[in-house]
Amino acid sequence: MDKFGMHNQTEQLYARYEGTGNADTSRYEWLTNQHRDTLAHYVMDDSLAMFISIAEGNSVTRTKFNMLERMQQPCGPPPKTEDSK
Amino acid sequence: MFLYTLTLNAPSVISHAEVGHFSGGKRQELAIVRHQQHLELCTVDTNSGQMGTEHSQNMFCRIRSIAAIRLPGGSKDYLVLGTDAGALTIVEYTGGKFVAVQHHEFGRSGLRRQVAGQYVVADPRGRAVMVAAVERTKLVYVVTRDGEAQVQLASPLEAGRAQTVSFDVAAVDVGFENPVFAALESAYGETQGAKELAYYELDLGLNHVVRRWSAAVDSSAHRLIALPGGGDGPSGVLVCSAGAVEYRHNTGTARRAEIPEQAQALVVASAVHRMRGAFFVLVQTEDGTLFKVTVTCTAELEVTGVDVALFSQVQPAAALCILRAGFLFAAAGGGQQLHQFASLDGGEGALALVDEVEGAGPVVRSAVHNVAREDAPQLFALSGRGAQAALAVVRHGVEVAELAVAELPDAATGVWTARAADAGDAGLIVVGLPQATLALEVRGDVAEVTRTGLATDVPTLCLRRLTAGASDGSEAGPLVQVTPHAVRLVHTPERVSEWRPPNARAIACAAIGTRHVAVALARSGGQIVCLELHAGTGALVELPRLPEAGSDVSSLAVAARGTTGAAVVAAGCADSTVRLFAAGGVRGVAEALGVQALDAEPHAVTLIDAGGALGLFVGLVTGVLVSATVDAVSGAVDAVRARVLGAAQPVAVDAVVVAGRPAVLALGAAPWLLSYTRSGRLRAAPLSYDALAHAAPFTSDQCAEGFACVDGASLRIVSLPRPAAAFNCASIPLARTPRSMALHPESRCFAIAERDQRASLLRVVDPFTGDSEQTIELDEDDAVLTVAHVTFAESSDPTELFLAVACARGLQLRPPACASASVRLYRWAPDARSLVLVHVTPIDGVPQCLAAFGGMLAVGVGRAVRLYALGARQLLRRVQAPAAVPNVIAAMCAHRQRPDLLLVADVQESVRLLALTSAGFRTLAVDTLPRFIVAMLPLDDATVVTSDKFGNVAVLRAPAAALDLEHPPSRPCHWDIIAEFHAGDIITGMDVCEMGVAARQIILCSSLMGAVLAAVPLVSRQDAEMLRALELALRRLPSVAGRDHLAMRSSFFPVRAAVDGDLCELFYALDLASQDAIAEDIGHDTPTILKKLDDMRAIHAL
Repeated sequence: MDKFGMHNQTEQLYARYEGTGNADTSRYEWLTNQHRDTLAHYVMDDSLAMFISIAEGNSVTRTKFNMLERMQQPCGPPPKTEDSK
Repeated sequence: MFLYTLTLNAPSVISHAEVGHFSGGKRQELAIVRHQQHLELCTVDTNSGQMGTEHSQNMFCRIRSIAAIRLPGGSKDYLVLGTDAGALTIVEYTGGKFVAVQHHEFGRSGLRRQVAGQYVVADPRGRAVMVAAVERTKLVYVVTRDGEAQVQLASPLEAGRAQTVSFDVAAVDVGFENPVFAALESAYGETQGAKELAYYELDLGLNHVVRRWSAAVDSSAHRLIALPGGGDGPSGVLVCSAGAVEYRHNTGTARRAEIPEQAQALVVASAVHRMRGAFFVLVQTEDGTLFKVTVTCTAELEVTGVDVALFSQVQPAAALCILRAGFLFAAAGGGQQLHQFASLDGGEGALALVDEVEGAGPVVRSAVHNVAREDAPQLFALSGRGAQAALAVVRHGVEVAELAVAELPDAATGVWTARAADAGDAGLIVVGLPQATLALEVRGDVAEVTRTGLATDVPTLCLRRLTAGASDGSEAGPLVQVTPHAVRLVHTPERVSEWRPPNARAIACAAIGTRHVAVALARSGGQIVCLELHAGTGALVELPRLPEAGSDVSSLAVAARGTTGAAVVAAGCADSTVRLFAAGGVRGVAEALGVQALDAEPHAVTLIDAGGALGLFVGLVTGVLVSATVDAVSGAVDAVRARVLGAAQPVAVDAVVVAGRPAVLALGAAPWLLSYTRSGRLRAAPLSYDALAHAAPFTSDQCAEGFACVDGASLRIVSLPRPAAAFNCASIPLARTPRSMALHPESRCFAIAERDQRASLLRVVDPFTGDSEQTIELDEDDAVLTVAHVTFAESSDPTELFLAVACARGLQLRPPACASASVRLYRWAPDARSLVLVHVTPIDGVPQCLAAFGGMLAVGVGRAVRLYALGARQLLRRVQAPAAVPNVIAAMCAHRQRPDLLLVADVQESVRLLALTSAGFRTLAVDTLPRFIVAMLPLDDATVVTSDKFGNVAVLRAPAAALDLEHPPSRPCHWDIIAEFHAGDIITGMDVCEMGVAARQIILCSSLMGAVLAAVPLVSRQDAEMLRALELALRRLPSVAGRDHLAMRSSFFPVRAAVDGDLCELFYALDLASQDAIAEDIGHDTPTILKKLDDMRAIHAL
């Protein structure tokens, strides 16, 4: 079936571009990727980081550090069961 | 509607700063990135410690990181930029601007978590660069030079690991061994583990990168500081974690030191300084304390210990740089400070502040008011945080420092200065009085001098010291004084010669150039006599008679014609013209060059060098300034521009020197400074100073470059500390982070709400004196959220202003919640300088925002809008819209023209237009797009400008059907999007205002990072089309960082009906051939485009 090595290429793409979704992406995976994208954006955009840090009353460094820390597991630990979509 | 946006003032908050030799000379300079957008080259005068801005450039991208790199054997530092263009750019400062020397694309553009650019570091020996992303990607580029000594980048080598978050990257100094980069990273996913410090080694021989070494570090580690190596130091890195600094290296050595008394503090900034055979590190924690980190090592450079000791205290900075001349540069808040090291041991007085540039930032809220009743309104910005909080008063105008003021016996008719004849003498200031002349000398203070050789019992028309010898020589020649009946040549106080006009005619006006004197005879129908200093005899020689002007001459100017030594004379004539003549020179010409018609009679005229051509400035009696360029040879007048300076008051124009370049002060109703940039573009900015009558350049030991100016009977000596900055900022200090403010229109006092964690206060500030008239400390744990002025229909005086203050106890941000909340209502005391509490009304839910609405107070609580009327004991709830918005109300604003309409913004679902009907609130318009609204401003009865948290600005208009309350549509209409663009910074304040007396209205926006922007609504369709075509053509030119301009302005929503004026103004800097090519492309000619760009600023007084 896989005449042109399509499957291989797709696998490679998934490995290369973290967060690319497919039909089997679970709700948890999708959500954590959304959160990681958002958190990374906060770190990369200085004005947003400043805006958040003023609201929180923290320094910008701490705000950015907290965002990076939250990127580890933005939605908590992964669900244990397989069918947790 | 079509918007033309201009950045009037670059952002003041600095994101990054690097020190280096960017121009390639001996001088150390600072490369500064202002809010990821503007790249600036800042110079530091090592003698005076004054900071100056040499060049500032909008990069039209987000600069996320910079690194200085010097290639082996080079003497010039390049800058490596990590941007959002998905590319690595190496820029060089050359020819007065930053240009890209290498540009390598590696990924998609935009701020993406796996596209590199967040961290950029360069090998200390300039052999390689690492550029890393927040997650996974790390690319290493080998940097070399090709045969023509051009910088070359090799193909990138990948070093990233999947599912790894990078906290920081540093380049380890390993001398000339293989370059090593250290990364602070932590893996998530299946291989989740502790935070690690990893060394990536670039093998130059095999051309690949390997992860050579890694070690677990503290989980709070957040910053890496590379230490000198390669014989100068122990190499390795300092890992900063909460409250500690640890030395780590791949030898396995680990030495940890606690930061004294700051167990949880993070390191916000650091600087490493190398000295001969030694180095030291400064780190700064969140509260601004500076610590000195000392790394002790053995003779074999083996680290034996790390010590952290208190050094000093400065404001918390985003970047620290140490200059070799012994200065510490700190980019703190919206300002920048330069400290001088008094000792390297720390303690009291270790640092002395030598220069400070004040700036507003971060700006939480701002408002435009003309409190001082000046020509242009002032921008009041709530700026800074915590201890740096301030009410910043931002004015359009160049800052003026007053050095001395002296009273004169009579109103002055003019002021002139003359350089000293020899170096031992002080300069001379000559003031013309109605019937006499006063000669003054400045030695410490201003004192009259008698033995000058000048005629002091007659008025003076003009005075200047000529230049002796060759035309380019700077040797001081004789002093020339023109009185109404004679031209007096003062060689020495004892040796004076005179030239008198024929037939004892009176002199109407005169002008003196470097070697020429031009005088116009009174009531002569325009007879002008030109005299030249004879190089041999040192006497004044009459040149061949000039053609008659045909009308009485009221003002004169003279300039040298460069090559031939001839004089160009400009004569302002009573028949509303300026006539140009050429006189003298090697060929002894005496000819009319041309004539320029004016709208009104000229009052004053001056000629200055405009880089090749001559700049002609004519002040008219109607308060208009006309500027033009004159070809010195052909006399062709070009680029004629008019600018209204104020009310109909004659405009005097006086040539001065600013930043070493000739400039003009136009003194009408307000003083304006006009100068030519290096690219020949004329820039205009008002001076933040009183109206003046006359000015002359002035130099002394105390004042390197200033003006002596007169107004009435007062003589002042002033200087411009920062002539390049068109906006200046004065700060009134506050105690805590300001959140909201309201201006009382009569007393012109501001009520300001300030809050930091667990402490809030209300303050009444007089912006004129800066004094706090009253401070009201709220109870502990009572957080003030916002304030608003409100009038109540039920009040005994329906126009009386009350101040409503929203407070919450036990406030929690995510999700918004509180234990209890209230609206405190204050009444202004009769003098409107203090507040008196009327009553407190409990509110269930967090009162996020307040607004005056139809004689009631509108309170936004969660999703609901409630209207309260004034009661005796508390506010009385009248109307409620329980679900006015889908999430939480972020802002509310009553309509100015339609008192029944209320604009309500949601934190993420854009703006809704509500109408108050007899049946309660009715939603008229909703949006189709999500907008996280920060600020909004109603323009007319159907249009609103909004700004959101992602830096977008949108103009929304309700369709006519939505506003028809008689025949309401069955469901809410959708806003029409009129205009939209991405500003790249959160706009926190917007107001409609006029920036000058006769200027047209603009929308003045201030951003969180302290930038001031103008959005100019374009009136004519032709203008819009021309500027849009110009923008389109300029977008096609390569940009320095390689970020596509259209994509940048459309980062979140496609840009619509908005032209980027900053991009259009790049047209000035293009060479003539490119200008003509673009002009032809868009079907206009270059002068038309240049005039349009000039006019866009001139008619809006920008």
